[in-house]
Amino acid sequence: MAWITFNRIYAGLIIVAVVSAMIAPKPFSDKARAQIQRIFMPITYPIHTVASVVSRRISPQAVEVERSGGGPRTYQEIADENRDLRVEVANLTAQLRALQEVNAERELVGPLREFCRPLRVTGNDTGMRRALLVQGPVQGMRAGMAALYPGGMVGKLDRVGWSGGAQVQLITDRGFRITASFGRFSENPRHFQELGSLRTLFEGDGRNGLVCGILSMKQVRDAGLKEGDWAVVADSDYPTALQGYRLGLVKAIETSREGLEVARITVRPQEDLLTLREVMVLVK
Amino acid sequence: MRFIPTLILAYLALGLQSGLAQHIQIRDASPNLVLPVVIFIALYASRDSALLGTYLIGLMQDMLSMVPLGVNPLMYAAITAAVRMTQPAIHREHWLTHILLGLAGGVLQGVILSIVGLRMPPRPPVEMLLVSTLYTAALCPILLRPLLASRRIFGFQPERKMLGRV
Repeated sequence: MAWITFNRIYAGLIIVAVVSAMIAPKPFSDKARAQIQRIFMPITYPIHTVASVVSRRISPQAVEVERSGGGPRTYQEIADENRDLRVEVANLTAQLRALQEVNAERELVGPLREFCRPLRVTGNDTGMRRALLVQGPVQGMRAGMAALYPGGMVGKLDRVGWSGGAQVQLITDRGFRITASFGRFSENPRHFQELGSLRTLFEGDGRNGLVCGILSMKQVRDAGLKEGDWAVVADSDYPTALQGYRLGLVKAIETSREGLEVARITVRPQEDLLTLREVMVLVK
Repeated sequence: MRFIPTLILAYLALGLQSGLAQHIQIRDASPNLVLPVVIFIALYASRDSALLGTYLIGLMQDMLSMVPLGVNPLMYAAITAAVRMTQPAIHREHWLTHILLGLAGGVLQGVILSIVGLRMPPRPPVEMLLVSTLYTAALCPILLRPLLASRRIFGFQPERKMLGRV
């Protein structure tokens, strides 16, 4: 009798799992999930921290370095400052354009950090998706808000729980889509030049980049897009303050396998986003 | 099967999966460090405990992932059922068995993730699933060795003894 009862209960559990996995909408389960991840923080956080440090040492990311005068500062400090300034200039350029168009929201001009709240990364997705588990003061945060790091955009909040747990879907996740435009710095390092009206939809490649396969090679050639250019946010789903914020650098422009004249553009974030230890969420 | 040691084991495995797995990727595919634990429980626990235990582990793993809730319980239920079916014909302590079970588990995982991916995109690429399966299978004997050595802690009881009690 007990045997039959267990089988029935277990069959019920399997049906619930199938319905939840295949039919039930995702937000249905998200509220509960964001609370549970806090339980695992005592083990995931130290492991993630150690693994990130080791990972960065084993495969250090290439850092853009500019030759701008000598001084007592270290090479790394200058590189970091350059990176921050470039992100800020690109961001401000696009912001300024948008502000001129709408003639409002002047208060948004300024370093984006003022509008951000930091969250600590405690782990990664346990499946095959690209996501970060984050922990911190999440009051006022909601799903869809953008997460940033000094090198650009990290992704968006996927779910937020009242216990301080949240999950950030990375821009490199296969389910992440965002519209981007392109630009580059001219000889004047303070001048960010946008490349015409070239805008396109990017999708995470599930590895460490974003890909676009809908522009023609002619469009790419006409715009003068080349490797090393910046891909920046140009998506109306995100606030004005985020427009022009860096997604990454154009790593490759190839002819797509599917079509002879279709360009496959790959964009890489400056760092491996899985190794980040802190992200900033744009809350205003 | 003792509840507390199994809970601690599941906690550690899920913590490792969340904190470590994506940092030790090969060709952008991370191993499933929870799968060896599922195989271990499926091999040694009684039928009901194994089915229920691995289902709950899957549920906990779902809580730390972006996949729709229910995917991992389904996967681990299927893997546990498969392991239970093959149990009479296999040498439970042989490393080759662990590799084969890791491969079979990875294939089942890939099939279920692909089916779910059709309904709830994105679907993971086949190459990533394949590399992850091979990677996990290769790690299975290494991770199962200490578990086998300490299996007394978990208080697994032989199936016959359980049936005798009923």
